[in-house]
Amino acid sequence: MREYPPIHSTPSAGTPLLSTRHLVRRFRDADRPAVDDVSFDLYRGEILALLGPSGCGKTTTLRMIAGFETPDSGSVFLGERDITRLPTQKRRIGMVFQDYALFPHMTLAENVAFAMTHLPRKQRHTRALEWLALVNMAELGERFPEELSGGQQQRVALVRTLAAEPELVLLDEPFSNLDASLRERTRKEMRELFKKTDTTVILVTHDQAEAMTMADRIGVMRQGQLLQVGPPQAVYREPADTFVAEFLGHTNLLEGEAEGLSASTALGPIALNTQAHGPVTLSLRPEDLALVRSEDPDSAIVVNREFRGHDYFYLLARGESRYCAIIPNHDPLEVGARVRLQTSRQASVLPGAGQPWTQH
Amino acid sequence: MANAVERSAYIGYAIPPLTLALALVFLALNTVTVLYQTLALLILGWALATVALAMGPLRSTLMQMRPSMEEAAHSLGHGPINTFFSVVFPHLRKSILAALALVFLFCMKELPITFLLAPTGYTTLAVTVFSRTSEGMMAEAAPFAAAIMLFSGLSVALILNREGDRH
Repeated sequence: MREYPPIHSTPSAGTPLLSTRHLVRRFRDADRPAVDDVSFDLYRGEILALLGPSGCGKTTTLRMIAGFETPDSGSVFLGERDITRLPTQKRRIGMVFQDYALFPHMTLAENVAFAMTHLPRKQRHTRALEWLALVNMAELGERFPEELSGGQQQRVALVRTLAAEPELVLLDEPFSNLDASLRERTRKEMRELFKKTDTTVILVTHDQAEAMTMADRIGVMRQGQLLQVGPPQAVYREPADTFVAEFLGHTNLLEGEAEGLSASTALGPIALNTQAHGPVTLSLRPEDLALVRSEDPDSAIVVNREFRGHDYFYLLARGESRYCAIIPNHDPLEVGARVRLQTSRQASVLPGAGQPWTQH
Repeated sequence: MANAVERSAYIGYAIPPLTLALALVFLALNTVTVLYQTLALLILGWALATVALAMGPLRSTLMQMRPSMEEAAHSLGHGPINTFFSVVFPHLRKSILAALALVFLFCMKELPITFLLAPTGYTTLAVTVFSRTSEGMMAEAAPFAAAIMLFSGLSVALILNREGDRH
């Protein structure tokens, strides 16, 4: 087995490994495009998650990169090379399918060996077993796919893809067919494997937790458009608009009047993450709120409380407005308790928030 | 295009065998005279009548095959030809056997097409049974009839066996 370079913690700079430029794909002429002007760069060794609700165009984007779909306009570059019209088999881009797509008439070792078109026939079987050993399945090499559990099939599909030594690996909803209990562990193992083999990955998912734990960067998509790309922390902390803010988890959206680094809102003056002036929409994550018991008639009331083990999730009402807060589980508040809402962190100004005010 | 080809296959199956055979006889007499009284014409007649029959099992297997299979082979670096022989064809093997069995069954017991198109001196079991019984030679026809039963039974068993394998 070859030596693997050390783990990359940050994407390396320089020329991107993959670039998409203004990709558009329309399935029926009258409809709005399934993918609408998508451009992004991906660097070697990086894991990018395309995140969005079903029908947002993330899978179509992935299929255009793989070569299963041809874009109506726009281009895909692998390194310096334009691969927009290159057939799939010449792209050296691997794909792990949602249904794993193992060949049922081949054993696991044969499935993996099938990927090694670059090696002499004699070496393939031994190398296939080495790849299977990487996911602790060497002894199952002579089994057939139907004899395996979903998780095992997925690992085989993954090493089969890696065995072709692709420049880039694409994952289409890789965890959606796994039990919830298996998902978290598989996520972790897979990320470790990718980092160990210095594999560049694009992952498509509708699960924000999956995207945040797996990826170095997240691209959030909606209605064919790529709304925001950035590290998970940045996208979570400073979402581009209300859609991104709400898609990545619970949040409190507040309307306010900004004045420099502070804004006046229904919760009183709130510190901002950035300079702003005039009417703004703010996102305040529930963990950034603190609740202080108060008998003030103007205070909020706890309307619902959800025990989640390490914390409580509170739903609060104040007048017409609703808020949510996540508080560590000591000193719990009862439903009906009156509290004052305090911010424990700066609120984020949503630069792209044009939509009408919605509240949680 | 593919749909048109597929649908036209059913025409041969839908036309009554006698009509099909007569049409081919006239074709051979007037237009393609080299074919008259040849085995090739008989095979053509059988093929036209049974293409739809053979397509049944192949079609259902192809429909069941997930598109991701072929896509996976392409993404692993295999071109269309290699993908067909390594991935698609192995799936079809059992269906091809079943299609062969169906067609064999049809041709063996089929009478009008064979009767009209077979070259002189060429007979099948069904033709032999028919001609002997029509001359009242029941006892002489019996072994041939039994042979038809035997071979039909075998091919039905083959088809059923394939159905059983699926579950």
